[in-house]
Amino acid sequence: MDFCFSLCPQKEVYSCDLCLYAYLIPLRRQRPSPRPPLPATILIIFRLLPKIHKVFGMENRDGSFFSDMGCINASILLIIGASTLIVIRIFYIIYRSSKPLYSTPPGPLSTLIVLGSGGHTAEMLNLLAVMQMERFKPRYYIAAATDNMSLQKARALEDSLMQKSEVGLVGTSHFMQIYRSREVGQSYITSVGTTLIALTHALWLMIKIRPQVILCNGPGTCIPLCVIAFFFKAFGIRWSSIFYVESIARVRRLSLSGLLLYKLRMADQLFVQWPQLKSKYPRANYVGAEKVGNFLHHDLTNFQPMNSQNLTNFCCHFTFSGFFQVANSQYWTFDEMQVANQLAVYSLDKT
Amino acid sequence: MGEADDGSKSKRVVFVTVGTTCFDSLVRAVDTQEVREALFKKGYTHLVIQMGRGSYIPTKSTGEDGSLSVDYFTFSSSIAEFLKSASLVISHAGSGSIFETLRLRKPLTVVVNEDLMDNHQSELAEELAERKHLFCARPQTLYETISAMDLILL
Repeated sequence: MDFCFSLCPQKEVYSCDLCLYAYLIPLRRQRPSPRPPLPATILIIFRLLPKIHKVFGMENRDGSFFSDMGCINASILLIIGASTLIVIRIFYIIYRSSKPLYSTPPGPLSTLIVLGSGGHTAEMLNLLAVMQMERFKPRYYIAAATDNMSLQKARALEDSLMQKSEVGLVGTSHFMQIYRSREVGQSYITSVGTTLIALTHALWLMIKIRPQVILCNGPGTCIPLCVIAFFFKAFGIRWSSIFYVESIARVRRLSLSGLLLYKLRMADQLFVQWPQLKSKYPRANYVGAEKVGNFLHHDLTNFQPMNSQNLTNFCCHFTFSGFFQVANSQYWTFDEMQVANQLAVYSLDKT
Repeated sequence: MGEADDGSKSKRVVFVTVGTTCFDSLVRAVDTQEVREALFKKGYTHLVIQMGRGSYIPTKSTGEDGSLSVDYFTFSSSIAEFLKSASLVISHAGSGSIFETLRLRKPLTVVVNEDLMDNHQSELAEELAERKHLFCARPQTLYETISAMDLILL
């Protein structure tokens, strides 16, 4: 053993099969990779398995009772070890989630866009309209199966993108529907079954898509997808960055889906559009109007009632679709631009 | 606003919109005699109601007898046109309707639907009312809000 430890910093240690330390060294060497190699962790467990068994078996070789005890002890130890590993893994993921993933700009990222319905879809599409689409491709749109309008609108947006840019630059887009876990007014007993169906369907879609970026803004449709994405992270299947943009209609309280993603720390970044929310949920990113410039602070005190420029600016400020009207204005950057930029920062590169 | 122009004297439209929702209590509140009279007193001549999925049918009126002319429809693909032609918009609290109206720089009164379970919509309306971008009302207080409404404050 002493021989082992003395050699550990050297390469020879890899050949040493007796020393437990040997198993830890290769792990450290692989640090530069953005996510910990999960297969390696599993490998460690499996390679340690006979060793643990041997230790207990040797101690209690003389009686069958003690041998049984050894087995039980070993399995308890194994369970404790495995659950510790899982807990460590989950903590690591939570810690890692809020950090930028890449240090250099990677190629285009496959993106899953969850369209809620009505106002949620409108806000999402307005946000997409100002994003650099060539960095987020291919794009997969998912809407609830009962929601016919959202995918139509997304198709219209994609069509206009295709016309505006060169072929191949914006990438392909795909449209899918997902079962909802609960319809409005459905009874709670039957909704258990439908929730299971919805989860299975979400799992199937996620296995097919395996996106690198998930973009959602509520309502509940996105939750099963985000939960599955989190498990994919935990099991090392796919690392998807989850971005949640809270609706502008939320001023004082987060929506239920936003709150879930915030409290369970499932979303990599959560964006809010009102300062009240930012002060209440400090880990959220504030991308509303008041931070940028002193437009509102200034103009609330002597706000010109029907001054067209003021009000147009204000609305552009608060809504996504007004962006192009004053895109060249020098006053401030826009909330949607901020979101888009921050998305780029967290998912793409640090600059 | 160019409401004092000669063209707007003859026709000043109040446009009521409930979006894609079912908001009977707003339609019913607008349809009451007192609200109609209050609007007429304020100088509005026409009332157009987009009633969405609601089941309450307001009474039509041609307005020939020197009162408010009332018309309604369920859905229209040209909501933007109605908004543009309106002198006052009374809307449900959906963020889409609110910002679309504000962007057109129309005076806006938002009526919050209290029948909704999770009533987060009132948050946005109240916040914007606090910032003096619109008036915020409930179906039962619509009359008071309209009669007390002073568009200079917006």
